[in-house]
Amino acid sequence: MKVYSIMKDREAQKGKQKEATFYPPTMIGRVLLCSIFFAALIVFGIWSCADTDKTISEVENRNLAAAPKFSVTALFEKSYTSDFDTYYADTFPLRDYFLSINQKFSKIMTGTKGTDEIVIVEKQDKDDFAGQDINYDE
Amino acid sequence: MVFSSLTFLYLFLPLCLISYFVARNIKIKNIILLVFSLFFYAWGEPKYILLLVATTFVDYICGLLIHKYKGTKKEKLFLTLACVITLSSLAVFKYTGFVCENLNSVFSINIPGINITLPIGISFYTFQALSYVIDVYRGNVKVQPHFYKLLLYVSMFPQLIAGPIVRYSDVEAEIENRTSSLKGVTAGIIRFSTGLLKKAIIANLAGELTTKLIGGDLAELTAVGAWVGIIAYTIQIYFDFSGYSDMAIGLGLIFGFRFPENFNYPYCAASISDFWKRWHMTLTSFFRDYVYIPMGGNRKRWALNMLVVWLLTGLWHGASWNFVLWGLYYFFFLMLEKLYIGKYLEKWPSVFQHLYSLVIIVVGWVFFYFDDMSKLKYFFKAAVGLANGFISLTQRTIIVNYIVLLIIGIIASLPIASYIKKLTLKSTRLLPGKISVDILSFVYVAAALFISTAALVGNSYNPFLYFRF
Repeated sequence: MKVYSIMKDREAQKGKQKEATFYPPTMIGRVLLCSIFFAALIVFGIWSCADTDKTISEVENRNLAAAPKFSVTALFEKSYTSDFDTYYADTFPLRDYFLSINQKFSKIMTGTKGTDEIVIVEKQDKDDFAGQDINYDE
Repeated sequence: MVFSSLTFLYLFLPLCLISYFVARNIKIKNIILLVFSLFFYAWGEPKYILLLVATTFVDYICGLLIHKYKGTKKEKLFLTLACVITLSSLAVFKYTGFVCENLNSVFSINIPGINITLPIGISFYTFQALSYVIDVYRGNVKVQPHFYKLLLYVSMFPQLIAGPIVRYSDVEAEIENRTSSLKGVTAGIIRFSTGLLKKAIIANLAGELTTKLIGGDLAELTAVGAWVGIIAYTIQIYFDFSGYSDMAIGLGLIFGFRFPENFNYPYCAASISDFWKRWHMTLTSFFRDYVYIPMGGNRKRWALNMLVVWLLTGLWHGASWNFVLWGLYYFFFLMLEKLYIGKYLEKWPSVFQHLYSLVIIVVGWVFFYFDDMSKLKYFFKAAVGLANGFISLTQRTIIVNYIVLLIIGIIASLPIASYIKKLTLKSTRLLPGKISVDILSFVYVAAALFISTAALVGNSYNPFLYFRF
């Protein structure tokens, strides 16, 4: 009796790869794809290390996170690594530009600007609207 | 560290890739990969890195001893020892709190609440380490004489914290010798970018929608809100998890490993048993090969074996009763299909097969999402409109706002990638098909990286996004 027929053969499964794996068909295509990926990582990697002196964000109207001080206690309490992540993201190159791109993109996907306060009409007593045909969307 | 963080993407990854590809021989490559993997784990779990190393060490020693005493009674002893130690570490770190809580409430006693934080990825790496020892015992793989190579297998950062559950036999040969071809690297880059896009864009935004609709105290949840909320969660969990697997498989390809697939368009399933051939495939096959078949498989007590497997599958996902319920829920439907409706189901028009499966899958996520039983009950009440009616203005506004995301999420759950490739490959007058695919992959990777980076920068602005409402 075949009750639990999950995946017949692991090796066959490995060969199948349905959530597919693609690569560019020509050599030039492959070289270019590798170049853009590695270049993006390396350029932004170096840039992010070099450009860290900004401490205030005018766009967001707040102080950016400062570099965390290393200590063994902070390391073991995980606060060092998580503070570092915040600091790194706060001083990422072209931060303001990426923020504005993200806002525009969020606007398309979710109708809200992502980082802005979201304005939603407060839910009111249903009776207030009885028999009325009012569009409260705006 | 997680893949969807700027620190990983622009510091860890470039450093790791450069050192890895500068190294010429396989031994140095392995050591570099191991050092980076341990650093990757320690970044998120500075203390529990020792647990990871110790667990692997126990299984390494037991593997050697099983090999040494092959064919004697001691062989089984060392296998048992490895299983007991490895599974106890999982039990202690994952289930202590849960067991204490239940003992307290059943016997009205007061065992002081032991607060153990769950070490990241423990459910994954203990299973991997265990599969190695069992495979050595069964003679499926050769014993690994070098500890660092076994530690590399267990701790390899692409698959360390969220799967796929790679078996030692999957990577045995590749650890000893592998090459990164340009084809493999580019395939890996495309796969990684897809995963990043799935996680940083679709999963995160669907997560926002889920929280807005069904994340709070549910007091104002309406019927439409409940259903759209759980559909958003259905999208979130698939894109989150499969996105992570995509990134893992992609990084594996870059380094020359071929990890097993973990998902196969699960929401296109035509039945519940089909769903479990498509969802988290490495976990189901793990339970099949290391629990179900050893217990007797289909030959004896199969119903009991099924029950055990699904209870364990539920519990594996988390130490809470709702996961047990979730496992039993699937046990019920799998038995139902097997014993009664399976043969009729096959004759249905395929649209009904898919509809039937999707409804069960989506409702299943309700059990997965709510770990609070009273909320779970209230959700179902709201979902049939008995709590707050059909739809409210607030929830309608939220849903309308997120409509683009919902549509993209649903379309991206379908196997569109091969379709797009086929379409692009058709030569046009302007460009030969191959060139079009080249351009498409280039633009796709660049755009995915760009937009994901923007999203990661954007998310960093307000880490408490979820607490806003």
